[in-house]
Amino acid sequence: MSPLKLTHLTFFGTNVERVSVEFGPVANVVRGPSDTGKSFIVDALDYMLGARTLKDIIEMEGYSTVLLGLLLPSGEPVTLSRSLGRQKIGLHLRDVRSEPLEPPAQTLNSTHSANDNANLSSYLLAQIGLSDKRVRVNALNATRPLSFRDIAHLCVVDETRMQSEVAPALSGHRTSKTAELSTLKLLLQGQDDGEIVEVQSPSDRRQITRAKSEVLDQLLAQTEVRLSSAKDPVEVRTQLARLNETIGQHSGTIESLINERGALAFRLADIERQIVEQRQRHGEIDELTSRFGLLSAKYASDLARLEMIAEAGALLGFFQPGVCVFCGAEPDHQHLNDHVATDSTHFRESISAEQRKTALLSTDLLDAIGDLEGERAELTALESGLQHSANGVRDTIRSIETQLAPQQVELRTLLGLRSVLDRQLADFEQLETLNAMKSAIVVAGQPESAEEPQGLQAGALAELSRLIAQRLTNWGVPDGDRARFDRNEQDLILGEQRRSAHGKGVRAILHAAFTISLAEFCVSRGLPHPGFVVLDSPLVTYRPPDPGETVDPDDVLDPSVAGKFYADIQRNFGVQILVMENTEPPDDMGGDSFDVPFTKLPGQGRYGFFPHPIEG
Amino acid sequence: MTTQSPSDDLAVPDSESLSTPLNSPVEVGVRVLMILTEVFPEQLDVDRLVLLDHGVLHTADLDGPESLHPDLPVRAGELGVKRDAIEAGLQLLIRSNLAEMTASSEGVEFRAGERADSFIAFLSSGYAATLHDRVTWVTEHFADRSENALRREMRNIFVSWSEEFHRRSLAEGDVGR
Repeated sequence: MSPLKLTHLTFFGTNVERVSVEFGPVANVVRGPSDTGKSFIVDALDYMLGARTLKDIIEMEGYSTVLLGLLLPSGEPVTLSRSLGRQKIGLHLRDVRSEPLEPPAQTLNSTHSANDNANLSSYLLAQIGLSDKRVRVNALNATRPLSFRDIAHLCVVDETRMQSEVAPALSGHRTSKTAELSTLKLLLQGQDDGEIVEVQSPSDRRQITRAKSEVLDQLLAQTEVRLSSAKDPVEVRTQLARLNETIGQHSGTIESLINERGALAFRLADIERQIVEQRQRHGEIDELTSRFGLLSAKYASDLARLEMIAEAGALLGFFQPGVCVFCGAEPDHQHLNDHVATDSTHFRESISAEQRKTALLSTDLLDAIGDLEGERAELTALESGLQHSANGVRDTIRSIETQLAPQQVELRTLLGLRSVLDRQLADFEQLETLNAMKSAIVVAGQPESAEEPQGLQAGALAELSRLIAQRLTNWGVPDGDRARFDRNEQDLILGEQRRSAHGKGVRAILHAAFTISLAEFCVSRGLPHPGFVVLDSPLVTYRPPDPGETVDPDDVLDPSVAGKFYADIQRNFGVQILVMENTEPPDDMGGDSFDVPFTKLPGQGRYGFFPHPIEG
Repeated sequence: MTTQSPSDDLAVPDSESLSTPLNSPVEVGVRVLMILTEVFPEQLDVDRLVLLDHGVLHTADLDGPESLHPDLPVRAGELGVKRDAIEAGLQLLIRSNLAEMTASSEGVEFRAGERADSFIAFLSSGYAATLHDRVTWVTEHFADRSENALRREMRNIFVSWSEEFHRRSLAEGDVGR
């Protein structure tokens, strides 16, 4: 997979001239006097690759939008757009160089996020094959996701860093050193630190151990308090066994009493049912008795009336012999009458008959009433007998309950005591367990050391060093063949000295050699790398020494180095190289190369990145 | 065991059968004669005699002394058949020359005859004496009332009787054997 290529950097805005610099696939030189915007171009490229801010220069006034054209590994062109001062970056799926700006196909955040891929870093990492990598950040093997920003400074080198004493791979901040070396290892060896396991720091460990101990001590103290009144476990066990026996006995007694009571309750219910039946029958008898009483009164009344009627009838007969007093028939016709009372004798007889009948009925009724009375008396007796039985049963039940109550109280006490003993035995066990746990903690509290992850491999470093040395030799840098990247120093060594000990001219050229060689190393081995390199002032301008000034030979480079440098970068070894320099290359560059001169002369050629203010 | 008796008040006194002396023209006639004698020289028509006679037998319902006849549930239905019995009784009294019938602007009325007093005096049974007391009481309290007033009074009683009848018949239904 061929890496990314930069195609153009463009600025536009309202009422300002659109400015752009185009880049070729191999070598690019932007040259001109200072303050023409060369360093600004480097900052702007870094800004479009996700830097948070772009230093505001006065020439930027009126410009609102930056575009960076890219060629993807697949060959298709895309453009990144960013409004100045904003954090969102637009992705356009074609080469865009002018306004008006269409809406982007996708909007990306400028900060990396491992959870959400809608950010520039994830996009670029995905394009070069470094998605979902992790870097180590401290001695305890903590890791974090790789961001494109971790790689950006290995490809885009501004003037300050080019000459800085800080080693090329590092930023100079102590806290980020581990991550920076982890990133370098990732590029050189293609393996990230995603598999390493983070360990607790010793202080964390100690804290945790202490906390655990405290908790255990608290539990132990509580348990011992509970056991302060207990006898020893063996005695407790014996006592418990005896107690269980006694409890068994009591339970048995209680059970039999309860059964007895149950049977009696059953019997009582039966008696009470019978009582209800008797009461019902009693009610029926009462009802009958009252009706018979009524009837009896009737019979008595009838008899009294019959007596009077007899007397009246006799009197009437006495008064009126002859005409029938009842139907008024003449004596001559009376033999035709068939009603009974034609004469007082017959009338008298009918009355007597009636009286006899009624008297008999009355007697029978009185007998019946008497029987009922008898029955009622029996019932009453029976009822009282049943009541008596019921009361007897109730008394028995009560006496059982009197026996039962203390037994149950006793049982409750015993059960309470048993649960106390059970608790004590449980506490004894817990005491043992807690003490065992405490011993275990002491053992486990020893600090663990982080498994040392594999560092930079000697082999890869040797290869890189060889490339760097060869390059420096090709450039004609003195002692170049003895240059190497030292694993322990984590820095380049030229001759006997570390890079930081050399003058700034040598520091710059070494930085350039390191950066270009790292890119070549990766690309030639198919390891992921952005595929381009941006260098600001790798060749320190030759400056004639002031009179009497001691010139540090390191500050000044042989002009022939520059020529060989430019020849080297034009070789197409798969890395796109952008160089910003003050001076022009000594020899003309080949047709494939892009040469962008800034004149700083109004009206002659291109003034700078931005047009001369007067020209507008 | 039967709860009926020959003296059930619904028994119609039939001059042909005369199966029982109770409620016969003789018995009813005695009562009517006592009433007429008490109100003499006043005269009464059949309607008033019906009401007064009824009152005589059930003085307790009129807030008077204990009733002569036992309180049976059906006594509210008596009045309809009572009329025939009283007419029969009056016929007997007239034939016996114990009472007289008069016709006036009020209609047909009846009055005690000359021999009425002595006839009644001859009745010596305890029942007769009690009956006489009741007659006295009723005629004292009600005889001078207008017929309408009397009827109103009776009607109130009948309502309470029919309620009682209803209650009793329900009770009988429950226990009835």
